[in-house]
Amino acid sequence: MPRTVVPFGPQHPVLAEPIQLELTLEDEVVVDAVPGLGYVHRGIEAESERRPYDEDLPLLERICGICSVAHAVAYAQVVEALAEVEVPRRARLLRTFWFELTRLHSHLLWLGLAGDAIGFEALFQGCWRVRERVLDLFTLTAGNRVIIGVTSLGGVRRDIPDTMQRPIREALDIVEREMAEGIAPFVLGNEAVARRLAGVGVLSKEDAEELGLVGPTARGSGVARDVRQSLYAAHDELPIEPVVEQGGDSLARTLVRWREMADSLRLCREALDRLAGLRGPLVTRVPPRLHGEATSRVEAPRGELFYYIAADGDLHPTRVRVRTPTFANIPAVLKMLPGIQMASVPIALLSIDPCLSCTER
Amino acid sequence: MRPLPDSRTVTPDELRPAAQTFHDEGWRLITATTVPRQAGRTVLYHFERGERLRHLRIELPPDGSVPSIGSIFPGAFLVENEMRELQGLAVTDLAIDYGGRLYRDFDGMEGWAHDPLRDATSAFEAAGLARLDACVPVAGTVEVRPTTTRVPPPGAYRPASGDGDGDGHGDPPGDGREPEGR
Repeated sequence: MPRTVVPFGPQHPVLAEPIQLELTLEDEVVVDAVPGLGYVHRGIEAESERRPYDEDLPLLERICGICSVAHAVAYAQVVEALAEVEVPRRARLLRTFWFELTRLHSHLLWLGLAGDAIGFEALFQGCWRVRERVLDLFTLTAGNRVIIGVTSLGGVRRDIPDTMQRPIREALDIVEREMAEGIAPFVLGNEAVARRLAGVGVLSKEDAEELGLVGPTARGSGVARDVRQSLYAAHDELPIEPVVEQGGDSLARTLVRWREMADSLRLCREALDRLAGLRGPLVTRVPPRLHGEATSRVEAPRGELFYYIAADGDLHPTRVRVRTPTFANIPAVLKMLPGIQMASVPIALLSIDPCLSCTER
Repeated sequence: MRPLPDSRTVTPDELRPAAQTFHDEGWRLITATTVPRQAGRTVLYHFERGERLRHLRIELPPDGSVPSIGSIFPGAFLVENEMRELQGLAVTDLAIDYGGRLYRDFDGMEGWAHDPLRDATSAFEAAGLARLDACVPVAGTVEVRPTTTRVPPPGAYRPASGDGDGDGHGDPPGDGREPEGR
């Protein structure tokens, strides 16, 4: 059968950011896919090697507008490891609170985009309406809607006083109720969603482990891997069980994110419980000159985010390396696409929740 | 420099056997990192199992190369292609070789001349650039060249002088003279 090469992207209605997939088709079936990156490459890694450590924080935080808290915490942790300083408990709990809010709004954003990709506009609108509640919480607690800038080297910049606990808890209750009443009927048990997602982009557990996939993409294939089981932020005192689905398809990855949103709401409340009445400093001083090598990992909404820094005692790092979850999950797309219909490529690609801003750091 | 804990230095020849051992013991490759040094570079491979991290370290001279571990860790091909394109590291025997085309809009390492036609990332782009090259600039119109995606210098796209028929299409405002104060 003759083969046709179709460029999917870099500009495509389903993609908020540019990536190209050169798809080789036989009739309407994909037989090969070649990725193309670099359309929005910003050179942030290289730029951060010219700036002092404290100035790198707002720069690296802007790698991604959606999971900026994840980048800020991962970078702060690697600097704190180099400086061998301990972050105050109150600051670790606050980081966890904002981190889980980030996961909540990121998953809501993705679910809306997935609804849009399958032509389910009501799902898109419902998710983004609830997401606004979460962004309002960011505004209430941090002053910004998206890049909230609450993390600092050695701790956090802002506090959540006890007087603010009540309105935050009320807002979390509203988010939970609106998710249950306004979104769940569109997702769970909805035949249109199930038919559009089930069996699309299947990845076996063996594939996920062999390719080293991360986040909901791996957990949707039965791999119980979640960095929150390790010690970062306050996850040592807020234990979690990885949310795992066995289906390995786009529906399984959707359900993982759905259940993780409920888990994030629980973790936000538990962080608030521990913050109530807790007194103590918000930040530990970090020296301006650092020496050595260190790594850190956090569980960003899309999966494991890895940072490495080499420092030679200067005011700025020698090398900053960022491995984002989407970069780790691109092999999943290349694995799942061969054999599926061209019409299913958009939702299969979206099912890994690709973030090109992160990948093109 | 205080090195990473749990890191082991190997030679390029020892990399694949060491990576195979990690694979057989159930470690996952997180990624690889190149670190520029005064003489050459360091290449680090980061592995994870449970909550533990291990690292393989290779010290390379400026013209050194590393073998691909893509046949051991299938997901390694992406970072190996990236290290070759963005850091100029020579990786031999790549399991999946994108031939320097993973990063499409990257103009290459220092001293590397970009040729839009030679480096076109697809047949579509090559055909489009060839058509643009074939365009013959017409006097009085904006010249069409393959480099028009770059930011034009100030004044490059001043309005045309108009067609002179007075119907308002293509005619400059007023009497056609530059407004005062510029």
